[in-house]
Amino acid sequence: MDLGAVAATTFEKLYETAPAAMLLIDSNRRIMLANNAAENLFGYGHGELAGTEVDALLPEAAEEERAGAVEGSAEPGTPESPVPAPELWGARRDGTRFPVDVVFGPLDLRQGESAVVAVVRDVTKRHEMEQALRQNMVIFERMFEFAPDAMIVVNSEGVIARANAQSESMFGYTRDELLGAPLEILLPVQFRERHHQYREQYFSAPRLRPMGIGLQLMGRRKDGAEFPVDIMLSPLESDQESRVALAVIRDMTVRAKLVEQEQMRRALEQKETLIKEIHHRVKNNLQVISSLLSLQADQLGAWVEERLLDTQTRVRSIALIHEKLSRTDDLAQLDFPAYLKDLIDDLKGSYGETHAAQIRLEADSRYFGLDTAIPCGLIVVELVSNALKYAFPEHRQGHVLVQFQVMEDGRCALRVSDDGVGIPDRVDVDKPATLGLQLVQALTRQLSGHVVIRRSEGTTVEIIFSPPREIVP
Amino acid sequence: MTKSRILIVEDEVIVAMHLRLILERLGYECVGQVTSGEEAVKVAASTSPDLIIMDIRLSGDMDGIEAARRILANTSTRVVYATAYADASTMRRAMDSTSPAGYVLKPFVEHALRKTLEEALAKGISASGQAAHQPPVA
Repeated sequence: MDLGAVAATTFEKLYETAPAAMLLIDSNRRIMLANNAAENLFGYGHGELAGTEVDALLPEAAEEERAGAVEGSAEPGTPESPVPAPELWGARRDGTRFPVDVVFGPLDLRQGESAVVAVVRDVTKRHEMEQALRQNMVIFERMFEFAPDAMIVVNSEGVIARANAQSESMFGYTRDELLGAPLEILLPVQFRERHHQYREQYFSAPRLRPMGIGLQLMGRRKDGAEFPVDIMLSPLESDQESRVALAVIRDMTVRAKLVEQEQMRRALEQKETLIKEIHHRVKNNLQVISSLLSLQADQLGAWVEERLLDTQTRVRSIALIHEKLSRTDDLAQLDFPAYLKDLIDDLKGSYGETHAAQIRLEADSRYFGLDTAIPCGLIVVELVSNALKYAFPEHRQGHVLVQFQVMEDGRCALRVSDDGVGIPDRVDVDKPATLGLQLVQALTRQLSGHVVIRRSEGTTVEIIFSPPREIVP
Repeated sequence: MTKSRILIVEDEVIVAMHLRLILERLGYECVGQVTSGEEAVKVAASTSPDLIIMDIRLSGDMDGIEAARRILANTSTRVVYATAYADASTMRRAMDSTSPAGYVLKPFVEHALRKTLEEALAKGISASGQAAHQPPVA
């Protein structure tokens, strides 16, 4: 055997056992030779490929096939992204296709005929990886674009390189306006200068961190409106020359409002607790005063005791107002008719439920604050006490009527009438000698009202006054 | 007839003196006068009163409701609360956990206290006590 023949045999062996698929193709696109690997790759039996047209294995249609694949895999409306396009598609005998990488090498055969050696590699794995990678890119693109937070990529010069849809709506700029603009346009004017420095510091040691810990960060819209934001900064992997960072910006307007509401609610709650506590303390202190009066009265004999106990009743009428107020929602306005009812029940008790006179109440609905309720309460105490003490001597039967009327012009009338023996003529109601009537006169002045007394068929004392505007709790 | 024996639990000494005066006038025997819940528990155990007039806010850590609860768990007596602290939740807690025989709101008037005491004492004693009134809750 000559050297050429040895080489040919060796080559043939190499060629037969090579792991790569190899085809020898003539100028008419027919396969002259195909090795084992090629037969296996395309699914043909031994020797079956010889004489077959190469187009059956690497169809001309590969071009169109690729176009179809592009359309099929790319979702409508997504940002443009190059779709996997293998150089060529291989076709197996059973018709299935697979991506291939083909290297062609021209060969000059004897007799001056030319041929081509094609080394075909199955690149399905690589193709799949590329496919997956591209899909991931699409997913990340969308996550960026449609994130509920504004996401802005900025370079170390502070220029906005990318911005997502939320950035546009949050800050009121179009994408075109944002891209290439300095990041500082998104900040309130007074922070811009300082932000330059912060940005430079950040890029000298970029790391993932929230921005401005403990500070109330503000963003600025194109229209000048400012709003609270939370910002997360993160360095993006890139070459050292062109450093970029991602800022994730969350609009905290709603959150800030909720926090504010919560703070207000708590302040209100504290205020209510405090006011309740004050009413409680006032009642407790009035109890101490009342007890002091009793203890003192006990040592001074019947006449003084009676007077001091009158004052105890007066103290009680004030305490009752605090009692009523501490049970209302706004702790400031009380239901006056309800107060009068309790006050009269108290008076009935004080003068003995066995008193021959009947007390009746007729009252219009009205809310009063402390300033009006206390003098009114004291006036009722004086007038009803007087009637019970003096109008019905010797267990005389009779009636006391307490009326509270809200008139059409807004003025109020407080009236206590009895059908008893009447005030003796010697009593000058304008210049009374007794503390009770003096108090009625003084308290009426305090209410900027006036007193009218009628002495026919018993006694009627009427107080007319203009109360402050009603605030219904 | 023996005098009813009453314990006063009240951290305002002036008010306690006033209560003692009223009790003496009404012919009751005051078996003690204490200012804290802890003392109330101790004295109630040693004196076994027929009735305890109990303030709710007291000096010390234990309030009147807690003191009443502990006393009623071990002793057959009645509790009448005398308090200025009459917000709805406090009254509900008092009613639910101790079923008092009555209550008076401060500042009280003597006749109201007298009536409440008489009504409470007229009731039979049970360890859990009995509610003489509906609580003044809205």
